[in-house]
Amino acid sequence: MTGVLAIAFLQIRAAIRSKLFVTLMAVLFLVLVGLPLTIKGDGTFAGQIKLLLYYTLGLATIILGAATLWASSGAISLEVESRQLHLVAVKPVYHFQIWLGKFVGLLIMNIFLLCFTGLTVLGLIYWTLSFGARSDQERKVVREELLAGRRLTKPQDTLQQETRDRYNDMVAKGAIPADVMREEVLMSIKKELIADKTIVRPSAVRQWSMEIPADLGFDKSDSAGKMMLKIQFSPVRAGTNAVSGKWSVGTEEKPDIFSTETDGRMDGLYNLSIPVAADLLEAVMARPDRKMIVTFVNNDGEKSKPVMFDRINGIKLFIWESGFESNLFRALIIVLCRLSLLAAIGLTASTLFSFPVATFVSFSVLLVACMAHYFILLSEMEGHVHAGEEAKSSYWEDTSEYAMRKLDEVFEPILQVESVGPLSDGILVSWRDVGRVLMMICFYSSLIGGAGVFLFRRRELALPYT
Amino acid sequence: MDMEKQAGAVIEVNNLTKVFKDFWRRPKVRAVDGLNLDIKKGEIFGLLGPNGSGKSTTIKILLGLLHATSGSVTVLGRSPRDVATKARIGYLPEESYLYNYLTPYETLNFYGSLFGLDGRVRRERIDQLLEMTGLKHAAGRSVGEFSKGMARRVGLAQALINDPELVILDEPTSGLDPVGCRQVKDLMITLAKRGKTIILSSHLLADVEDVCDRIAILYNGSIRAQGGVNQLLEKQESVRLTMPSLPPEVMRKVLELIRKEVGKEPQVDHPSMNLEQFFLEVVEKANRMASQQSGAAPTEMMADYLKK
Repeated sequence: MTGVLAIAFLQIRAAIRSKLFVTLMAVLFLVLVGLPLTIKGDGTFAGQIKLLLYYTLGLATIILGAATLWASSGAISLEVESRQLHLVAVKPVYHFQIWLGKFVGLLIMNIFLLCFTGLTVLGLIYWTLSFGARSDQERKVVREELLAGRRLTKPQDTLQQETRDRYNDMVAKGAIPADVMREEVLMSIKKELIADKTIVRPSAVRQWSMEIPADLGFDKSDSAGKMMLKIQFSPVRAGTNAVSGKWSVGTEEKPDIFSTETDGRMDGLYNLSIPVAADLLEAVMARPDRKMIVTFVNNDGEKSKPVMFDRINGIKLFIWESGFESNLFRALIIVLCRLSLLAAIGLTASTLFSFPVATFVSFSVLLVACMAHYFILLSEMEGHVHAGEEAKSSYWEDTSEYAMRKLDEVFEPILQVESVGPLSDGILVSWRDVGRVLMMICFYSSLIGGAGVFLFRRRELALPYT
Repeated sequence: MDMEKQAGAVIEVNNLTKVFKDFWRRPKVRAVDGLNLDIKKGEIFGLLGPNGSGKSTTIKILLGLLHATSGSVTVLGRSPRDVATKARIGYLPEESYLYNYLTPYETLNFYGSLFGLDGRVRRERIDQLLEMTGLKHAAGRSVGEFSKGMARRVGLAQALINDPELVILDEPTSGLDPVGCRQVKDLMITLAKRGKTIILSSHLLADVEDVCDRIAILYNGSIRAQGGVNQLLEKQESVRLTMPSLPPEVMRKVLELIRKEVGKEPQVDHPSMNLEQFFLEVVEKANRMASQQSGAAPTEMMADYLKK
């Protein structure tokens, strides 16, 4: 352990004395303070804060990621080239200690830099909230909707199950002709169901059921501003329509504990926010299934027209779970985990290659990992375009798609857990997310590190051409 | 370990061969070719040879920095790549590959930590080593600011921080002033007296002659001559007598007697002090008069833990 720490502190000292650390801090400070000055947003205070969080933290993550990959790619290779590592390798330290020492050094540096980033962002947010020329209402919206960690709940998506049920029903009734392929029928049923779920015709009623979690992060009696129902919809033909409808929220027995009317001309998306008051929450929580029912009645009449909902994001319930500071803390831990994975990739490349080659290899691995998911999506889209035609693909196409799928399987679990995006939307980054990412990073870093140490042990450090 | 005690062998090299290969694994250079070495405990062993003769490659194999292509190598009874072996070795490379941003104190502290030395022991040894190498006054300056000789002293100090049983020194006097050279040679002799084994690789033949018990001369990766220094250099066919200056009449009689008995013309000259001895005397006098130093301070002090 002494050896690992000695190497880790040497790594930190090198970064400090070579001015890398100070330069990174200066760049981060410039980005964090300078970027908000150039952001315009959508004109609202909430929009400004949201963009400030998203772009500053996003850019800081990119800068730290690039710096980590670059520094880790040179951590071992540069010392092999300058032969400084000869003096370390002849001391009683195992190869894994050298690798781990470098890794811990990079980890500690990233912790410092992320703390600096987090504190600067917090300072900026507080400063903007305190000194900006904004109304109290705007500040309230920002505090309640953005500067919080809110759990996001959506109505359960039963599309797949309903598709299968309807298909089985049709098979049982013998309603499917023998010459029609199963996939075609399923696709047709799915499209029909999506249309049913997303469009509410005049005079029609649509209901959504949502389960409220039992473990609320606040006292029910103090629920003001803690729960918010967000509904997003649009007329089918924008610009020429008006929407006249009634919204009700309640339970199965009392579906209209809260109700409101929407009436008027709309262009594009319409966002409706319904605060969940204490009496409504109490009624829902009193039920064993804690189901809240949201009902929309599209009023019939001359001015009413079909209304369209996004199947996935049309109805959302936000439940306050934690304050902004703790949410930011968890988001930064996830960022740190990702930086650690980059450090592991860079260090492993560094055990095998020279600095330029190691840097190139690390960046390529990262790029391919990020691109793999998009390649898969692209190939699936192409599959739909050519549905029904005979599939023609070369051996090379099949092989590359297989490789991309495998890569996607490996990297997707890490890449899918986003932290900066949800944070800037005021959505909770949970400890469960943190734990999941932490476990995955530990697993992947150990795997990559193990490969790195294996290669490092086999490498002859004093070859004449290194 | 038992084998080592029985035979007293610290290093055993049998039929060692090292072939450097290119990227495609094709043999490129045969740097060491069938080398056999047997170095005993307490010996100062000199590795000599022209550039490219295989000295450095042999040393790097002994340190586990290179892998042998064939043959066997045992260092202190174990494989040279064994971590337990490395704990008992001190190594000074041909260039001082130090971290330029560290001070001598930080450098020694770092290497001391790698040996797992306790904090108190580490601090004591660092103080003594800095004193011994004459760098105490420069302990807070970055190694990057040092001259080659001063960096060499830091390199030497790091090689001794663990009080090693086997010290491998590659060109230890390169870049050092004559005072430093003498000091290093004295250090080697002192360490050998304490039972430490020293391997010295150098181009400075006078240094090797001064301190080594045995030497091996390498050429093209093989040993061309090996044995005790005196045994290799002694001219059995001639004798040198040193005596006080003789009056001309006595001298004439002695020479006459030698010519008559041996039948050959003897050579007569005055023994002279060598340049190193003369230089050391001058510097010692100057040092007694000087009050301030910017470079390495000449010192005759030896670290206490190295004397025990």
